[in-house]
Amino acid sequence: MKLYTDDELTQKLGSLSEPFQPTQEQKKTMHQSVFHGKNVRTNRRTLHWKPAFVSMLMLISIAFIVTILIGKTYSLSSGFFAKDVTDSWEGIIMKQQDSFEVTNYSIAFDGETMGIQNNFMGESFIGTDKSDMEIRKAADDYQAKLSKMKLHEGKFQNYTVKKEKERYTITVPGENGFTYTLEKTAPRQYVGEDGIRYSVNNYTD
Amino acid sequence: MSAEQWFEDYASAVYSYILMQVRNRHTAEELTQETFVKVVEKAHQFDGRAAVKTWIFRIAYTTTLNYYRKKHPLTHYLDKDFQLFGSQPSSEETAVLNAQEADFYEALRRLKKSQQQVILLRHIQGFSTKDTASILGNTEGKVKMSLKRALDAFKKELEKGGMSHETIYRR
Repeated sequence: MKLYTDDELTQKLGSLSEPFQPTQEQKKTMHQSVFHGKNVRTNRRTLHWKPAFVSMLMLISIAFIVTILIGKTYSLSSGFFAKDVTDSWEGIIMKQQDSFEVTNYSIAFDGETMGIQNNFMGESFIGTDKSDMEIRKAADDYQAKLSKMKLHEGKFQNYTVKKEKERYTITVPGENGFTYTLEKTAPRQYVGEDGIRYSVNNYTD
Repeated sequence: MSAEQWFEDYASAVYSYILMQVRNRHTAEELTQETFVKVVEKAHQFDGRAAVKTWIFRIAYTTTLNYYRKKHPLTHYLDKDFQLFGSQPSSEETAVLNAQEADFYEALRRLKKSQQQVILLRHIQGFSTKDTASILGNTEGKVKMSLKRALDAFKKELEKGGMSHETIYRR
């Protein structure tokens, strides 16, 4: 099969633009638009629904997959990528290192139950000259502050501990469930999301 | 010479140059208008170092390039057309072509966009190598090299489509 020579191709290509020339009407329309600022064209650009539909479908699929991967809490340390270290936390006891004005937590993990205990002794009013009203107010303030704390005393079943890098998220399911995130700052030192520092009795994963 | 005279002289060429790339009459109209709006705005900057047609085509080239960057980034960055789900109009929908013109046009469309550009400007619009280089922002040497490769690729595409010297004269 003999191919075209370059001259033949050049000749044929030279005349190829002719069918692509605008009509007089098109040229007039463009002229008006450019020089008189009139946008007289009424036809809208054709919307190709198939690519738009496929793009939308892909976007929804990606959003769906990302949602599943990251998890419902939107926390990386408790989502799909986090490692479940619940078993290795069995037997761990965390103790609050420095007392806040209302808490001195001990948290014990026994595999099935997580027990949170607040060992804060409270302010002693024995031997003070405070009135009953002042003591009652101090007690109310204490309860108000305590209610605002992230952790509350109790025994919680079916907890999980998930790890993502140095962040650990304790999740308690159910109606009274909650999540509490800790960051490991040293092999046996943690800081809770509320700023409370803990030490643990053993090394953890 | 006024911008209106430039429009009169070159609008058809610019439109055909753009339409052969975008394959949509409405888009080609919009991009031609955009090109000449820029020509009007920048007319005072035209320094006469190149021919006015070359200068206008440089604007048309960058305008079309920007359109692809915004609307079809995949096509632009991979330097290749993708006919997704038959969404592109056929050559018959783009222009009224005879069988031979349709074969040539389709063979051209199958080339890389950079190869299409040198053929469009050098052989279809009839610019010199120097002017083609000015429009594309390349050196003359690169244009010559690109053109040679583009023509070789174009011939192969024609051959794939069953076109040959004999075929053309039977039609």
